[in-house]
Amino acid sequence: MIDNTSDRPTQEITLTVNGNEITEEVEPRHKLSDFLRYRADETDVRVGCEHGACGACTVEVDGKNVKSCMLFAVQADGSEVLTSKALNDDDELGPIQEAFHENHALQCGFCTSGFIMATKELLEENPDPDREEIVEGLSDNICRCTGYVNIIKAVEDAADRIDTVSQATGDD
Amino acid sequence: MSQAEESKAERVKEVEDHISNQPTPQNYVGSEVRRKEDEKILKDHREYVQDRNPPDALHAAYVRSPHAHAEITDIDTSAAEEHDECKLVMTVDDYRDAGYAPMLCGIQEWAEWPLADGKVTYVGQCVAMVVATDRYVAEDIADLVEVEYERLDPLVDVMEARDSDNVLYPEMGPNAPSNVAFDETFELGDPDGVFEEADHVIEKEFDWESRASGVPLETPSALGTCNMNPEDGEEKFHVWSNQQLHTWADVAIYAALDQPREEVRVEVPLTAGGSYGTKHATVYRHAVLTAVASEMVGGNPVKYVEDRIEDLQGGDSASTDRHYKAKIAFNDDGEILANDFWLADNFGAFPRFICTNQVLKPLAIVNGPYDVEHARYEYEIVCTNKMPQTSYRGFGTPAHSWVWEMLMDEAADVLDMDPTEIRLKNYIDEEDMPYKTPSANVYGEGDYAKTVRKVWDLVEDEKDGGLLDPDRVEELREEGIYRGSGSALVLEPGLGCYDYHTRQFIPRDELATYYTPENRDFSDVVTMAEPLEAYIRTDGKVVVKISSDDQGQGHQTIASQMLADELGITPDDVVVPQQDNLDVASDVGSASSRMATVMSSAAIGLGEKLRGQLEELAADHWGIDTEQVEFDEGGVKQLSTEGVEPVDKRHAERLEQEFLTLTELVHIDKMMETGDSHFKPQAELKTYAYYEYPDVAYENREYFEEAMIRKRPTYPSISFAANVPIVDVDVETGEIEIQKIYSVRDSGRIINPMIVEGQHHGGIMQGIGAALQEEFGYSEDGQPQSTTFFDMMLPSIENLPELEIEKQETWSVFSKSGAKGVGETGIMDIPASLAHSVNDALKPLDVTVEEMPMTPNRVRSWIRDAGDAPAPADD
Amino acid sequence: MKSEPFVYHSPSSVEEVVSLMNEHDHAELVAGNQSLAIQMNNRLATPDHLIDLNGVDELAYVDERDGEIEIGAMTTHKTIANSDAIDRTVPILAEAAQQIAGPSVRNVGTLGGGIGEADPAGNYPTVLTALDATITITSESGDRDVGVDEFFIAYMMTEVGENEMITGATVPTDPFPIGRTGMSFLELKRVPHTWPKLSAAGIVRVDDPTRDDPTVEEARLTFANASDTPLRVEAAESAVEGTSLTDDALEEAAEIAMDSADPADEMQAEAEYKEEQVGIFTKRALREAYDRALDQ
Ligand SMILES: Cc1cc2nc3c(=O)[nH]c(=O)nc-3n(C[C@H](O)[C@H](O)[C@H](O)COP(=O)(O)OP(=O)(O)OC[C@H]3O[C@@H](n4cnc5c(N)ncnc54)[C@H](O)[C@@H]3O)c2cc1C
Ligand code: FES
Ligand code: FES
Repeated sequence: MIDNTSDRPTQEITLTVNGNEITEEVEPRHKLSDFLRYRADETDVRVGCEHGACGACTVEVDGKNVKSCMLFAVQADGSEVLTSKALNDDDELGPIQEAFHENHALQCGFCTSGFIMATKELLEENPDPDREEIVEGLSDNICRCTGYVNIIKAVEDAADRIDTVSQATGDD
Repeated sequence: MSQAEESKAERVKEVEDHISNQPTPQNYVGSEVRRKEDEKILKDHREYVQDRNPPDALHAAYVRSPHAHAEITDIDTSAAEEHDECKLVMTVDDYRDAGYAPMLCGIQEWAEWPLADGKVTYVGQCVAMVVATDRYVAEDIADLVEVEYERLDPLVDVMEARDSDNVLYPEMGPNAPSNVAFDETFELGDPDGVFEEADHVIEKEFDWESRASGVPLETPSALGTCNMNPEDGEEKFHVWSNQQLHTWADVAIYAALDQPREEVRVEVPLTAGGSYGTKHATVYRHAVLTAVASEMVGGNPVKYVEDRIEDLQGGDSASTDRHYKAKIAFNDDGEILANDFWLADNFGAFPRFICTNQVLKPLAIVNGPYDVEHARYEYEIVCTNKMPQTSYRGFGTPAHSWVWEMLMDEAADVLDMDPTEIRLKNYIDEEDMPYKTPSANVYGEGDYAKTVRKVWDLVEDEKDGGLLDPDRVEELREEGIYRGSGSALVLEPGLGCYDYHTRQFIPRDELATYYTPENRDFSDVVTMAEPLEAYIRTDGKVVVKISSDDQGQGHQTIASQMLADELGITPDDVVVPQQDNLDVASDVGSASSRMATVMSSAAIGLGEKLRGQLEELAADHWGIDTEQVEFDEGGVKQLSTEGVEPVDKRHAERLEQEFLTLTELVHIDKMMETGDSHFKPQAELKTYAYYEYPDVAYENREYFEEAMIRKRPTYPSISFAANVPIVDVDVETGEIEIQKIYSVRDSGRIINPMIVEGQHHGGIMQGIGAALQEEFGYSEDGQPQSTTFFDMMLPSIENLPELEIEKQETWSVFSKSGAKGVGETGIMDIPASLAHSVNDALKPLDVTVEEMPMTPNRVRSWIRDAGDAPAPADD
Repeated sequence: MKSEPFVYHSPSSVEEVVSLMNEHDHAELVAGNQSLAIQMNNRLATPDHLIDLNGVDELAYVDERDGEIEIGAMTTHKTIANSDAIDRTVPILAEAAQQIAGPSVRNVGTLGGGIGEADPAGNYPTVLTALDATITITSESGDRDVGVDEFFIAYMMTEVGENEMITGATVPTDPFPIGRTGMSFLELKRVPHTWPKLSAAGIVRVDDPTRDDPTVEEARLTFANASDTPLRVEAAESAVEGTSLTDDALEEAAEIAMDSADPADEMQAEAEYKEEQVGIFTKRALREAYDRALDQ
């Protein structure tokens, strides 16, 4: 976005996005989703509805998931923001991403980052969810391609993978 | 053996031979190769349309119509233009004055300007485009454009519109002045005679008015750039968009821009964020206008991302909206003799390009899966003040199949026959395959009755202690939960021929005579082959150029699997790059479930060709006969050197190397290995091949000739599914809960079972959505009611029922690879199947489904209307 | 869908909020932003100043006291859904919170926002009406308590005036002794990403759950989306009070409730349908509440 804010109110904000500190002058009306996509180049934050219904824009702000189209960037001033790509390790896919890949839980992939964030929060709160809990945990996200069947499988698989990792590293 | 059987057996053998004779093993085709696309997407290394943000880009927003029908008396852009950051306000006059053309419509003598011209005919119609420094400001400025409207009476109801004097576009179309933009009647066989003679005739009216559509999560978007000073060879316009069918439907863009194709580069991402057929007609308006705006502002790229509310309210995003009057004739013994379907399809304000064919496609399966020889099919394309329709998965057949199944239920009821029994009696016999329909399309293969029996076998256990245990069903009914089930088998036609798409461009009154064997030769039929191109890189990797566009189907993976097996390499050795419309041959693209079917078939042809060329190259290199070499995994091997005397030392050395890898072959081909590399033109390289797989119907001329000459839809790929959904209807609230769906699904040969299953899951869910909840509703004054996801209730994860799917593989007798379409699965069959089960559930209340979607309020109104009649004594 | 410009304020105390409201015209409070953002993005709400309550920590609490439980305006749906105190004393409130959308909406959406929004389909207004809660409204001149029956005055309009804010809600727990009270919250809703077409809150207190056919001592029955404001049907409550929730009593209550409903038409739920469902939900909610009162 061209930064031409003329005489509309602006405000300087600093966010830590996926570990990088970013300071920008923004209009208060700019949504966090737009900030992440246009200012922070975190295009994995996708926008499917801009009214809080589809979950494609889900990111973690200070440890909890929010729909970033429903938060103004100024509201996240000083926060730590994580987007789905931060869940990959170095060059490898992270365990949740790997599980999505292995289980064909993405087709067009447009909903995927949102689902990955939803999965992350779900598994942090409940490392071994049953099917019903998975459904509940992902109920803020819409996928139009997969019919959710493989997404559920992927979450189950991700739970196993994370379990294995934490057992291996002993940080249970 | 009959002639038909013989040729069928021959076809199967041909495909099987291909596999067994192929020198390389089938390591990848048929197995669950993980998708190539995923890693890039998961790491955010893949660019979606909206992700591209050139630093000098400007951003567009529209002024859209708040009214369904109104005269525009004035547009005052002065306040908007005075805004500091306003770069452009464009109205239709600006567009027209600059020399641009209207957008294509689907009907002759019909035209639509991309911005409203003098009046608006639906809510959300684009009236002006505003371009500014960012989207926020663009919306500020759009608010400053003052449009004065004088309201006209809105038309919403299709039946009212068809004979109203209030005509939206009195000067347009063959029926002018009329809201019926186009209409046709097909008499196939002797329907009148049969209806006269039959023991029974039933006639019912049905409404499929939901306009249920794809609604992909990624909205239509475009970034248009005008090159103000193009160098020779540079295009004037570059459009980056999620345009579906970009190597073919690009005509919709360059025609409006009034440019030759070569001046408009249409680039699409390697994966778009879903489409399901819709982004064909929903995107090109924005592609055109962003390109024009770019020219008007002096060359900055102009970006437009449709927001969800714009998309749902006026983004041309809805689909089928029909009223049916349908009849069938049958005998006492349950034999169906003829059908007669009349339908008026509410296309909204404009009959969009190609989308109008959605009323024609059902003709290809006019008789459904049933052996019925006589039919009448009549359609009207009606314009109203709803938003224009786009195309959607199934391309107009889901409603048709639903009507068929509802009539079959009714016939069973009239005869007091079991609904499965009457169906089994009428399914086309496998012996009669290939089967010619009354409309002259041909179904190649499949045992429908056996498939239905198979799905009932799966359900068998439910009857004893399971979901369908009679005691349990009885118990539930006492609690007001009516459980029902039933098996419907529905056809899923794919690979539509290209020729029939232009049918509605012919003067309507000439149609009956125009396309007849007397007036039209088979050579006049226009077909579109599937092009495929490949070359070997100097590192031995194989680059495949595909012309079709991906929105999540897995094109890269499928192409890689195919070529890997053709050449005995791994999918990782295959490179499938993005292609602009100008980089590849034109192709219908991702429509009509084509990709896996025709691309796989093309890959076989391409593989054969490339292997042959490589054998020649190697033979030449070794100075031996081509008989003495053979393609083997990843290269060519020497079989013998009998009768060959090395001419010199170098030749002797060459002969000693008994296997040439792809890398070595490409070096030989380009003369790099001799050091005196003088690169040959691509066309002369033996490591390069271009192949066209002919249109499937065209290739199977002996079957499809009649339909093609008559310019009727031919769909040579007939996948099918037999489902038994077990549904619970809460008769007090009208809510429908699906307990489980059993399904046997046949889409021919499977290239990647994982991907095929993924298509099934997604398609089934979309079918559930269309049957139970999705709806583009309108108020009486033409205001859209579903403008957010709160109202457009796409299925959520909570709506997923238990699924038990069995895949069946009846290989296509028509396509080279044996594959059939799977891209439109689910949505085609699930609505009809669910409604059939609901009929079963509500039978005791004498309620049948005549309207879609089956939302709780509708179900309740049916039950109310039936007077909560207690069950007529059940047996 | 982008909002108009505004100036943003992030106070950290109620006092500060109140003074900011007084200082600025056209100011709007934002809590979880799960409703307001939609209106602002559509330019249906166009405040010049946005006062963010998320930094006001003193408003996020659940305080269980003798005979009542007080919940701060900034308490999130998630906290309410997971609160042991609430689940023990007024479980219907936890249920209502749990049934709002999915986890990420519940992470940030708040009680105060749900009340302030006063959407006729909203979960909290209906449940708090059934619980006969009191809403605390704060301004420069201090706190005032308003009973829910007076709080929701018209379609999406509340008692909260200019320069006032909601600071909390207090629910009396005395009328709902644990062990002989049952509560039920039912929704007619196809997907989590939408609001219910109709919902009902039913509460039943019985005399003695161990007796055969215990008698209903007190009943509460309210509906969301059955009229412009939360609908409490006291005559229907009376119809079942003193009975052992017989079919006849339920039938009578349902008739009364249907008569009291005045729903608006909407797509997939015409007024006629909603009215009919008010009858069905009356029976179901009271029946479930009664069964729960007995089953403890
Ligand atoms: C997908 C989705 C589904 C939903 N489904 C449901 C549902 O089924 N049932 C349901 O009830 N809700 C539903 N909601 C709405 C959700 O509950 C909201 O969180 C709630 O309505 C508003 O709370 P909030 O904290 O987000 O308030 P905000 O959106 O921040 O504010 C809403 C309004 O209240 C005012 N306000 C906020 N706090 C105060 C205060 N302390 N004092 C005075 N005024 C105040 C604001 O000024 C604003 O006008 C849904 C939301 C989404 C996104
Ligand atoms: S884009 Fe934010 S929830 Fe849909
Ligand atoms: S993969 Fe396409 S929307 Fe989920």
